Amino acid sequence: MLLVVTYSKEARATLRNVVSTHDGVVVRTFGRAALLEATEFGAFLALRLREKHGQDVQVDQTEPFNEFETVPRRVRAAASAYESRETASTPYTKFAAGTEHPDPETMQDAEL
Amino acid sequence: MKLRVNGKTYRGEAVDLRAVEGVSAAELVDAVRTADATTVSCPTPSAVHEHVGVVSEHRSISVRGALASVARTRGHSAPQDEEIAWIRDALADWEPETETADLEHCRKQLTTAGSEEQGLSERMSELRGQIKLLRRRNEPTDEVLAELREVGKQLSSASTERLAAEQALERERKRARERRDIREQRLEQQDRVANLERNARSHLASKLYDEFRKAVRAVPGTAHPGSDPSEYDGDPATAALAIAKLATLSAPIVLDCDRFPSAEAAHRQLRTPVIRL
Repeated sequence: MLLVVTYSKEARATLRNVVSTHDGVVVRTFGRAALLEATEFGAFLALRLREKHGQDVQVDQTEPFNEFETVPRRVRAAASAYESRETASTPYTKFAAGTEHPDPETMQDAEL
Repeated sequence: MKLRVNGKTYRGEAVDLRAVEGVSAAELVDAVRTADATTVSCPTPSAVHEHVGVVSEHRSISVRGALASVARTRGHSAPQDEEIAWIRDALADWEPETETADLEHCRKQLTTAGSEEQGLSERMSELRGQIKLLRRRNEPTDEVLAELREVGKQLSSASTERLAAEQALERERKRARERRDIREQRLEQQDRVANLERNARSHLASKLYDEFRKAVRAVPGTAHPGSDPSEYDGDPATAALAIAKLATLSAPIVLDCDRFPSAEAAHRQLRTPVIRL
């Protein structure tokens, strides 16, 4: 999908108009941002917005997220284990200390 | 006021143009607002005039906005005023960025460099294939080998360029993100000001609402003002007349409606210079 994010009142207003006019191509709307179908028409609308408002419009592309393909097992396991922890108030850093679970700093430096 | 329409001059505080053709409310109010001396000679209209400059049955009006405007002309202030001024100052000081980065340029460069590299890489594969074939046939490979070496050099150079383009794009994307952080803050401040201004208008309008209710009863038309602008239940023209009545307007308003028997009657009731259309 195409992610469109606006950074000014004018750009936000234009996006709102686009979203209400072309609801067929809008997957999801969040006010000043929206997800559009990654079709030529979606791209056309996104590019028009950018032509009109320049740097006040950000356009990026999303991919479906398949954690089994993209995310190492230890990270998935850590997320799952942490969410089923016994003590709700334990922060993750403490939870992971002394275990095989990855620590946040290491994960922050590791690109997917 | 002095009016000049179709070659004829009209003077006074209550002018009746009902019998005159070819003049529209829009033209008249425009002339009043832009001080078009060839048509209208009158005092400068106040901010309230923006709301009630033309009264007609179809013209909508923001009761809250108009009342807030009257309150301001009377010198009233709202508790939000200080913060509004403070944020507006900060926004005005906002320096427009000198956009040095051109992400589009970087993206284009990367795509071009990438295509270049890919084209050369494909050529390499072709040439290697040719060499294999020539060797199998026991044919000379010198020329093709020479070309392979040459293309190899070009490919190496193209890869370096593509890598540089990737890094340049990455740098620019980081900078763009930082600039967007700032823009987002600016947007938040703009939204805050808009909210504060809305709240200020509510505050100011409610100060005058009793007076407005009385004025509604005193002008031709029926409406139920309620206790708050949001509760106003009635047609916009009645509201506009009530506001014109309670405001002190020195510039004429255009009455494009049939509520008064004459321009003079309207002027007397509203205490406002009137042009009756």
